[in-house]
Amino acid sequence: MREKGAANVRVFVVWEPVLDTDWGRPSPALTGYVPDRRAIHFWDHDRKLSARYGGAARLDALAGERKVAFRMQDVLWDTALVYPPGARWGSPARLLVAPVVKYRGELAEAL
Amino acid sequence: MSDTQGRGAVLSALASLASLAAALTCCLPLGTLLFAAGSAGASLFAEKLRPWLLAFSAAALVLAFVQTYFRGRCAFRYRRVRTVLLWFSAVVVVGMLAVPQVFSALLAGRLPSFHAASDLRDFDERDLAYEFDAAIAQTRMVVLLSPT
Repeated sequence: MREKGAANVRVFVVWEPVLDTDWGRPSPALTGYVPDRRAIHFWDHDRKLSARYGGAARLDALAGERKVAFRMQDVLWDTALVYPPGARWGSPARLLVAPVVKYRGELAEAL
Repeated sequence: MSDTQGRGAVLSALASLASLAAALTCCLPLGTLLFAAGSAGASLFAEKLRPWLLAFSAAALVLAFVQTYFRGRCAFRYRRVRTVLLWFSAVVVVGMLAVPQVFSALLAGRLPSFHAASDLRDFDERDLAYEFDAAIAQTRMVVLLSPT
C-alpha cells in the first residue's frame, strides 16, 4: 500500500480469530498496522466472511488466478483477494494470494 | 509462512529438542527454560502445533521456576545466568500469551501499534457489500487476517 500511494484502490481489512492467541476482541490499535486511509477495518469475530466465501475448501471458485503457498484447514485467512473495477460484491476476484506477505509483489502489481 | 519463517520453525523445534536433551541431564532448569522459550518461538510459526507448544511452554516454565527457586538442583555458579534466562523466558512466554499482537509485531520486525488508524467495525456483510459496491469504479482488495 505504501508503494502504491497513488493507486485508486479501496481496501477492506477483515480481522478474524484464527489462532489460539486470538482471544478477545482486539484493540482498535490493531488498525494501526494498516494505517492507510484507503483501508476500512472490520472485526469478524464469527469468521462470517470466511464462511461466506465457502472457507478454504472453495478457493478455486473465488478467483480467476490463485497463488496459495500454505494449506488452510477450514478457515480462509492470511489471504488477499483483488477485484477489478466494475466487479460487484459476490463476483469472483481477479487474483487470490495467500499468505499475503509472500505475494506482496504480485499484489502491488495487481493494484 | 515464508521460507525464512519455515527455517525459523525448524530451528526453533531443533532448539527445543536440544534443550529437552539438556533437561534430562544435570542442567535441568536451563534446559527446561530454553525448552519453554523454544516451544513458544516455534508456536509462532506452526499453526497446528501452536496450542500444544504454548501449553508446553507454560508447563516448562512452571517447572523451571520450581527447580530454580524451590529445589536448586544445579551448581550455584550457574544460578545468576540461569535466573536471568528464566525471567527472560518468563517475559517472552507470558508476553506471547498476554499480548500476542505486540510480540507478533516485534518478531515480524515492526514496532507494535498503540494508536488506532481508523475505526474497527464489527463485521456485517451488508456493510461490507455496500462499501464494496460504492467503490465500484476502483480496484478493491479484501484481506482476511489474524490479529496475531
